Amino acid sequence: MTTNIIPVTKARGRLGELADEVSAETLFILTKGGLPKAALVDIDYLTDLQNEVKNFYSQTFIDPSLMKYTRDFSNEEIERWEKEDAL
Amino acid sequence: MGKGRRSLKTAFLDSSVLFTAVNSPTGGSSKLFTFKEIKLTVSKTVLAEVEKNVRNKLKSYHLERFFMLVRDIEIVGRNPDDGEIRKTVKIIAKKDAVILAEAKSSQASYLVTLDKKDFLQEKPKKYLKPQRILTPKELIHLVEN
Repeated sequence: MTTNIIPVTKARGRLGELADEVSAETLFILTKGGLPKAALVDIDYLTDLQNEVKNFYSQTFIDPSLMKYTRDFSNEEIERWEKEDAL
Repeated sequence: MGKGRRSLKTAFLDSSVLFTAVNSPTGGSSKLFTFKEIKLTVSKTVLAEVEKNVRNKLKSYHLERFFMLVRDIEIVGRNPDDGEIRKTVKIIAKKDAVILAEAKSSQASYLVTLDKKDFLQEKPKKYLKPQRILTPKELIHLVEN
C-alpha cells in the first residue's frame, strides 16, 4: 500500500488527477495545518473495509441461552493464570 | 491414514486457557496454537464466557485476536447437558462443573486448564479418566518430548 501525504491546499487544484490515481494500492492523506484531516481512497477499497469492520463487530459467540453457565473473571484469577502460563 | 502416521490427539481448552491465550501471546496457552500434533477444541460455553470477559476486561485488539485464535479451534456442537452437570457439581466447584461435564462429553484426550486449584485434584482427575487434565506447560512438555 502506497500512502501519499499532500496538503489540502495543494490537492484542491489536482483533485481529478488524484482521484484517477487512487487504487487498492494507493491512497492520499490530505493534511490541514500539517495534520491529517481526510483521505482519498478507492471506493471499492473503502466498501470492502467497511464490510470487513461490520462483519468483525457483528460476529459473536455470545448466546443468551448459555450465559447462565458463564461467569465474570476476577482480576486476581486473570493475573494468576498469566503467571501460571509464563514459559 | 498413511502408514506409521499417528492420529491427532484432541485437547479441550477451558476458559482460563483460551482467555490467557488471547491476553498473552507469549505464554504456554498461545504456544498450544502453534502445534500441528494436537487438535484444539472448545465448547460453545467456553467461547461465550471468554468472549464476554474479553469484551469486558481487555482491549478491542484482544477481541480481534480472540476471533483469530478461534479460527484454529474445533467447536463442540452440543449445548451443556444438565444431567451431566448434576454429576459434576458433586466433583468440582459449581463454577467449573459445566466445563468438566463438557470436557467429558467431548471425549478429548486432554482437558487443558490453568486453574490448578480446582481442576488438578484427585476427584476431577478420576472422573475424567482415561482423559487427562493438564496445564498448557504440561501439554507442551508432552508434545515436545
